[in-house]
Amino acid sequence: MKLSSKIVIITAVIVMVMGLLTVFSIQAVVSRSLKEQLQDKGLSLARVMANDIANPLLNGDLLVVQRILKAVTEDGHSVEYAFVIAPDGKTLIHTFGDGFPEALLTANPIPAGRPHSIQLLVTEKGPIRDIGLKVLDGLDAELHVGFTETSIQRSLRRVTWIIALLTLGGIALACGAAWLLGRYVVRPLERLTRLTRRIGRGDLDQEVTAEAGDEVGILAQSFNQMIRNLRETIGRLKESEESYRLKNSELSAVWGRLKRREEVVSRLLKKVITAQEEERKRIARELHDETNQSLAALAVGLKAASALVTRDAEKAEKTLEDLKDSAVIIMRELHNIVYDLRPTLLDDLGLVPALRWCAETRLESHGVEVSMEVTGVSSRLPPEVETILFRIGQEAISNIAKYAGARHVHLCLRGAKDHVWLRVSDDGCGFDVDEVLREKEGKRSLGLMGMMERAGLLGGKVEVESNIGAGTIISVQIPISPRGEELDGQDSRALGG
Amino acid sequence: MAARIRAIIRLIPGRTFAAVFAIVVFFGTAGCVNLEKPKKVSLTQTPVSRVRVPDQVNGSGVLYFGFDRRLDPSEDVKMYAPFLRYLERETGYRFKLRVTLRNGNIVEDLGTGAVQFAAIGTLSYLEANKRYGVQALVRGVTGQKKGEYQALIITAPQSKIRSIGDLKGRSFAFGSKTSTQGHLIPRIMLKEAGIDIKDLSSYEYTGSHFETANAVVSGRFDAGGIQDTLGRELASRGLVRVIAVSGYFPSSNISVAPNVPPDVVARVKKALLEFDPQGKDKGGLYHWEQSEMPYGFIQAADRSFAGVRQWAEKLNLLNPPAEGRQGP
Repeated sequence: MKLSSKIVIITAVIVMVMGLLTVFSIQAVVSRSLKEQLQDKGLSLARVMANDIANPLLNGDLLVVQRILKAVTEDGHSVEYAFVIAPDGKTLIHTFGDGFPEALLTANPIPAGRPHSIQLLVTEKGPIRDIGLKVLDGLDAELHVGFTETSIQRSLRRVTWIIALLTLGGIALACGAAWLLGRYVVRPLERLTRLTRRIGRGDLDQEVTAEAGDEVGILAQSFNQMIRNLRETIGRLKESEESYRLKNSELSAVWGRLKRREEVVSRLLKKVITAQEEERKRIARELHDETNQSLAALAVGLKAASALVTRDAEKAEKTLEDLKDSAVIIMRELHNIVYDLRPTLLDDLGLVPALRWCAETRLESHGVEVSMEVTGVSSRLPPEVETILFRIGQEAISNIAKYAGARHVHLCLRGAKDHVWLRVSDDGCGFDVDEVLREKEGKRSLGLMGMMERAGLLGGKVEVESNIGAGTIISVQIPISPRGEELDGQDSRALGG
Repeated sequence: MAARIRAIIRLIPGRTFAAVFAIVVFFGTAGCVNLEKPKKVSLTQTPVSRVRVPDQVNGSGVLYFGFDRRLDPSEDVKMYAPFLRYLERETGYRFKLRVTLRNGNIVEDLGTGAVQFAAIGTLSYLEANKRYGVQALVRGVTGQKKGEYQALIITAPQSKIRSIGDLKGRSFAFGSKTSTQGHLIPRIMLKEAGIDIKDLSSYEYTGSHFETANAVVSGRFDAGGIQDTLGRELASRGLVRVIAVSGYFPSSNISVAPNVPPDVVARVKKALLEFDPQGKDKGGLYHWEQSEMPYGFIQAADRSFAGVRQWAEKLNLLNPPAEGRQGP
């Protein structure tokens, strides 16, 4: 049910209830008041009558008494009857023309010690209030006057009708006012409802007009404030969403890089393990193929020599001499193997001699001319820096020996306050750097990535410049200060894009 | 429609509705309920022309008190009614007033036992004592603080009568025929002045001091004999002029009928002697100062009436009543 209808109905019910209460209350009050007035008036009139009839009654002038009683009943005081019981207690004077109704005599006896008595009688002529009082205090004479209450009933009915009509009018008026009030209250609420529906559909651009300063107006203002807050919140949410989306993209990119790095690390780890195994194989092979064979030959030779010692001392001495040379060769072979693993030059003399030795031993034997330039490096570098730079140089030199076909190789080592820089350049055949790096399992790509990983361990970076037929330059820069950035400083090309 | 009504009812919580309904019913029935208990009486059935009024008075144990009429009978009743309540309180007996009608006789009421006690004047007492043996119990103490009173002869203020002697051949108003101050004493005063009633041009018994005063003031009579207190009061207001004042005579008394038991008499007499209308018993009295015993009572003895008895005999006022009393 509509709010305006509820207001009208509730108002009507309230007015009706109040109207009924008013009718009943006023009826009771008016009735009681009229009856009391009648009683008081009747008592006063009866006292006046008693006063008037006292002397004639005591003088025995009963006709005078009769005349007085009659005059009162005819005088329009609502007196229906009057009668007097004389002082002798036997004589009765009354106004009934057709005979005195005997029942009336005992209808309202005056109790002993009381000056008067009032009793309501129900008669054929309607309700009559009998007022009985002693004519004189001390005498047994009684005067009774009967006052009709018909006029009271008429007045009451009139009052009741008027109040009922007023109540009906009040109900109609109240309903009309309630309806108007309902419209006045409900209309802004309907506007709010329509706006709420629009907001539900996402339309936050409109606001309610808040004209009144009452509760509805305050509600409208609060509503508008709520819409503005919603707009601001949604705007901030959208900005946050955009920001999160950008961050999400960056995180995705970082994640990609991390994934690729993980792959690289995994490949490097495999490479390391493989290299380790290869190295062990090589060492095992060299030991087995060369050193072991040499040692076996030496053992045979020694056995033969020991057999010759007793038969031919001179031949035995010559054999032993030959075996001594073989032992020296074996020692040299072992020395080469060990040197290949980790040249003691590096630990004893430092990076520059180790690099020079590596380049000379690996390249000059292949007819490659090696030159080296060192500037700004007057003292030993930190061991890990020397190791990294040596390995990188060693890998570059190894690649030149295997693939470049170069005639000249130049090594340049330059030291500064906060970094050291190594460049290995050759005039070999060069290669397509991108293509090589894309070879995920290729030896050359792993070797290049290994160089970059090594440099990255100390916060450094490796740059590879090469073009086919134009030689290759590998540059590595290692900071001397504590480790800085991670992979972010490396050439993105090294990561394969 | 039913749905709407149900919707309306649902708007109002049950307890509220019940409370409102109870209030409406309460006020409604309160307004309609008549707390009185009316009696049903028929005004048209069994009308009778002669009605036997049930005896209102229970005669047993009730002492009736009568009085000589002086003022309006209603004023006399109003004055004696509270006095009887005093006697009831002091004696424990029930008293009722009995008013002697205008054509009645208090002396006969005393003699026949219609009343047991009566406040009567000296003349009435003398007659009652002679005829029935009525005895005076107490005498009233008058305004002069004694058990005696006087009578006055008055004229209108503008009258040319100056003394009793001027009353010969004039009209004269007496009070009640049984009145001492209104009849006996003025007769004595006239007799002492050498005037008999037949020397008057006319005379009349007005029935009361009040009517005598009226008759003189209105000019209907040239002079009148009246109670001293009333006469002095009227004179002080300039309504009458006093031309003669009598000597002192025994005041009004309260007498008792011969057949009243002695113990009752004794108790009533005691209460009368202890009556203090200006002191402790003043409350509740009605204009007692206008009575002939404004200061209470003193012991009465028959010998006190000897002098006035002689005059009454002399003036032949103690004979049995022949015709009815005069009255206005």
